[in-house]
Amino acid sequence: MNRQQVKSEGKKWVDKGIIEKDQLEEIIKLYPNRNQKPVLLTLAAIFIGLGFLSFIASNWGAIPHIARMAIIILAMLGFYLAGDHVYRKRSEAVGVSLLIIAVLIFGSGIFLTGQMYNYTSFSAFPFFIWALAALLVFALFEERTLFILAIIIVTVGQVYSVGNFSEYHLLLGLLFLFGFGHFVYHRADWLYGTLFALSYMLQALILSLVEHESFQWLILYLLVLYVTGHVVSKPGIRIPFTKLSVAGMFILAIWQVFMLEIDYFIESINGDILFLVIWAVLMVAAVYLLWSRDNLILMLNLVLFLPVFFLEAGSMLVLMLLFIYALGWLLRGYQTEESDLVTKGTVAFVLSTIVAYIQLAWDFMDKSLFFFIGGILLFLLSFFLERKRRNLSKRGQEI
Amino acid sequence: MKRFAFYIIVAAQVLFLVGMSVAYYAMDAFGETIQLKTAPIDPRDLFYGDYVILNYEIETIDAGKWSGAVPEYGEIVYVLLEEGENGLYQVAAASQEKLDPAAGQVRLKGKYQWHNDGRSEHMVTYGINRYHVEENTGEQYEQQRDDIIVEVVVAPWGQKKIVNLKID
Repeated sequence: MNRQQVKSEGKKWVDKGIIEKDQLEEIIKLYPNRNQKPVLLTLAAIFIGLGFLSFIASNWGAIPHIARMAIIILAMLGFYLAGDHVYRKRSEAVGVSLLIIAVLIFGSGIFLTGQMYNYTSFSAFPFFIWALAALLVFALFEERTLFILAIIIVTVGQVYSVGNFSEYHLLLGLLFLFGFGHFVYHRADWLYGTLFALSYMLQALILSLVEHESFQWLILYLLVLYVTGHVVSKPGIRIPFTKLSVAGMFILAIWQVFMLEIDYFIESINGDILFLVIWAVLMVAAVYLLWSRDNLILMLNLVLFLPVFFLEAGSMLVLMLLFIYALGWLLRGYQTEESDLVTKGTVAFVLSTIVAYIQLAWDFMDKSLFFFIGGILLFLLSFFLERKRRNLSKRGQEI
Repeated sequence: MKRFAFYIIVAAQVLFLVGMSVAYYAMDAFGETIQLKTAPIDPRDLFYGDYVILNYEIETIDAGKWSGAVPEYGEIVYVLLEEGENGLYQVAAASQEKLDPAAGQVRLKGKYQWHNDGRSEHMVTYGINRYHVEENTGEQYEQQRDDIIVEVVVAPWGQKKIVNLKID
């Protein structure tokens, strides 16, 4: 018997009261876990699947339609059933690999069938069906790899929708928010949280560009992510949600510094009252959450979300926000002697300096002089900051 | 319970694929065949590997045939077609409303594209601009690009498919 069989048999013994639960765990320990290479196995499975697909594809034209359908459906059924069987009886890693192939066959099956029958498609609906299937398979087995697969499908589907039909696909969006969101919330796994936040940010970017046709809504979406992270407050969700939303906002702020210099871009900004109302509500909620948890120092993050692009000289003001953020964390780091914060502040400060330098000096300086002086400035800056940081970490070690 | 759910989910996927296939053959039994004239198209190469790009005359609609508000890009529109001379179908009316077809008319669902102000025409797409053909058979269509008649089957449930390309 292997470990997997002992596990499933042993459960019955415990249920019948023949052995105790810790006794079963002791017994299981006697059977070493030999499946230490899930990555290799997954790759192997994907390669076999691709080989199979490309073989079929190269002879596809010669096969009658009914036979093509039979190949697709039988292959999918075979991989699903084998995957399920192997997962339970033999090896979870191999089983998951087989299930991944089955999900991929289902997706390619939809598109191959559509192509074969010259189906018309107006939207990313096929991706919705595919992502739904992938999510349901994940829900049954609760394996991280299956979650990664499913969230990739739903994200790619949304990108496909924008690329081909210039629209955000609502059904896919709802599936993402409620279907995937459900598991992210209840499992509170850092990997799920991180992937969800990344996909959310990409979709927010798509929504802002295609549906709102304005970048300012992206600020709201990022703020929603930040507030959600604090509301949920399970570490597996809070940390990726807040860190990624702030990182996204930092990048968006840099982008604003440059864009707010361009006249036609400034003209396209409108003082939408709805935007301001939603923003104010979210901001109040964020400040209240930080205050009630006695964590007001995190207000430094919120500085980046200020909508100063409405004002005159918005570009300069955003630049100032970047410096407030960077210097704030730097000082906080020195004050509390936490080297993580100092590193964060240093990186943010160096980036802000580069942005400020490009912004201020690019136009009226000879290009070679620009790079020369810029290099010297950065060198001095990094020398100074690095020395401070080393002092700090040395002191930290002595204590 | 979990076993049961697994079989249901797999069966649903099989059914979806089978359904796509069945709907296709059912169209032949229940659908109506119409013939459409293609319109000249911009790209120099009509033929892309294993499919041909087709544009249709019915994708350009005179402003006079439009009823109701002008939609935004990407909104769903309904177009009524009726048989004209040579058995080719032409636009009778178009709107954002779900128009009821009169006897001899066929309703197509499409997506609004843009308005040509200079010629006061509405541009619409029906999602039948690609036709997959056997590899290495695209050349014949390439040479006759302006004289292709496309046979399309329209099912009562709104689905449509290209069944044949005819070269005059």
